Amino acid sequence: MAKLQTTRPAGARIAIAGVEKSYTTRAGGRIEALTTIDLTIAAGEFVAFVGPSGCGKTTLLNAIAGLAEPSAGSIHIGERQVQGKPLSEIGYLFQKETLLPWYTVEHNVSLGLSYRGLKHDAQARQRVDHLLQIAGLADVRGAYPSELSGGMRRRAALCAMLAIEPSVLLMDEPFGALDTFTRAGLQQYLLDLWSESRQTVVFVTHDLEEAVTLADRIVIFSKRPGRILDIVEVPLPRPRNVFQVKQMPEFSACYQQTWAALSEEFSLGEP
Amino acid sequence: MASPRQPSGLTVAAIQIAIILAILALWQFGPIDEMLWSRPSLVFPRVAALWQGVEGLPPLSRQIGDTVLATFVGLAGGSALGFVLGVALAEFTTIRLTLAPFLAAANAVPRVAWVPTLTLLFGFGFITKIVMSGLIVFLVVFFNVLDAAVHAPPALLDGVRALGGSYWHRMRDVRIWSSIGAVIASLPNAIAFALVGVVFAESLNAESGLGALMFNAMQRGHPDDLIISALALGIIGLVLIAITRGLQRAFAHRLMLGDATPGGARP
Repeated sequence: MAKLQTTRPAGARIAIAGVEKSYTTRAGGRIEALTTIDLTIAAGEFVAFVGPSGCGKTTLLNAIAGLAEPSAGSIHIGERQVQGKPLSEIGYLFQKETLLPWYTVEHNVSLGLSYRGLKHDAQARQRVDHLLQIAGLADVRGAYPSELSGGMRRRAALCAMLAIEPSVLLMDEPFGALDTFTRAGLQQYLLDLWSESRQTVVFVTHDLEEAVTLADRIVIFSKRPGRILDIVEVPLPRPRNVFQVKQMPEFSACYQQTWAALSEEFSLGEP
Repeated sequence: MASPRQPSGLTVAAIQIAIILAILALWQFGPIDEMLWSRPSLVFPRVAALWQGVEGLPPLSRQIGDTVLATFVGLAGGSALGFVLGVALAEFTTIRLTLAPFLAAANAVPRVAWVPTLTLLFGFGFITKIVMSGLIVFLVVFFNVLDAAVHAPPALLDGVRALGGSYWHRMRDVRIWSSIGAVIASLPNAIAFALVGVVFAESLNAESGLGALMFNAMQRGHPDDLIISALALGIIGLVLIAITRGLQRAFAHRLMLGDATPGGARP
């Protein structure tokens, strides 16, 4: 299928400097979720955040997205500082369902465009049609989310995110609730779409295999309060096939390295 | 283990008809007090007479029409007001928390206790019935909508925000639609209570309506009219519930009502 013309530059650099996040409890105490995170993600890079539940990776993702304000430090997307609300460069795919059940698939995918006043823009409409086509949702554009399978709803949510042409994609365990085969299909679909426009991607997962399959680098977080334990480079070639890449010896080596960093934190044995 | 087979619609309908016939047979030929319960052979001719209008009573068609109209007008007005105020109050936390105990107190007052006050305010007649119906529906819808708007799904609100939606977009695309679902879900209860309220108001102070017919029948010792009124109210209630169920089914897949579940029938 022909590549769609885009008006937005590919990816944006993300600079996280001295970010901390803590919460005040009802009893007046403080819970530290994140402690002094310094990280730079290059433009167009695909980075995975892995770590145990509660380590703060989603908190950091929300801080990058502008949905949560850090207690200290700063986050820049390109030249712009993130300050309490989502920047227009951001696309976010949540773990939970965010498709509006009372709108059709097409309406949901066009929602971000309508918020930007582009509902009737010809190029924007073409982009929606293209996304629905390659997502295999063109035949169900008039259906409601309750009439779709879980995999189809995730693809629709992905289209809604991509329709606004973000230069940064933030994804919080987007495929976690799906079965193995559907998840693999969506991973491949994501890689194929991403290879077209090379946005900067931050992908949160607790699945180490998924992290190695998708990412250029894996950022490993400790238990709460979350800090960066290690960063593992993934030396697998691009473009990737999610099935074939698992047969490569580099895949296994990278998985072992990631596991080793985490197992030290939790005193676990070898995988 | 295989789940039990569902009976066919025809089977269920046949059983229902058999029950009706059995009741009619018992009522006609059974050992019941005719002075209290009348008989079908007396009731059915009385329907025809009431339909024309006898003994100074308005025609039955008008009586039914007045009750149904008051119920519907009150339903429409009460639902609209309950929806608007519920959504509005959800946005103003301080006002909502301040008014909470007063609203709870107002909600705790038995609806029928309002009738004398409404009669003093609006006099005898149609307005009182509509206000009674509207008040009952308003309280049912208002509290349901308020709860739905306050507890609008946070994931959906975050999703709209992440797509660049403003406060008003979140209001329009999440809170209001969540509240529409609450209105539709509350309709069967609202209608049932509204009908009760209208009939009670009619029984106290109206010249026309099924409630007035019932009260008149009680005063004149006319069991036929009482039974006819009760049957008519039962049929009206069934029709209204069927309409609201139809509305719920029509919106179920959009508003996640009743049996609508994510994923539908696709593998």
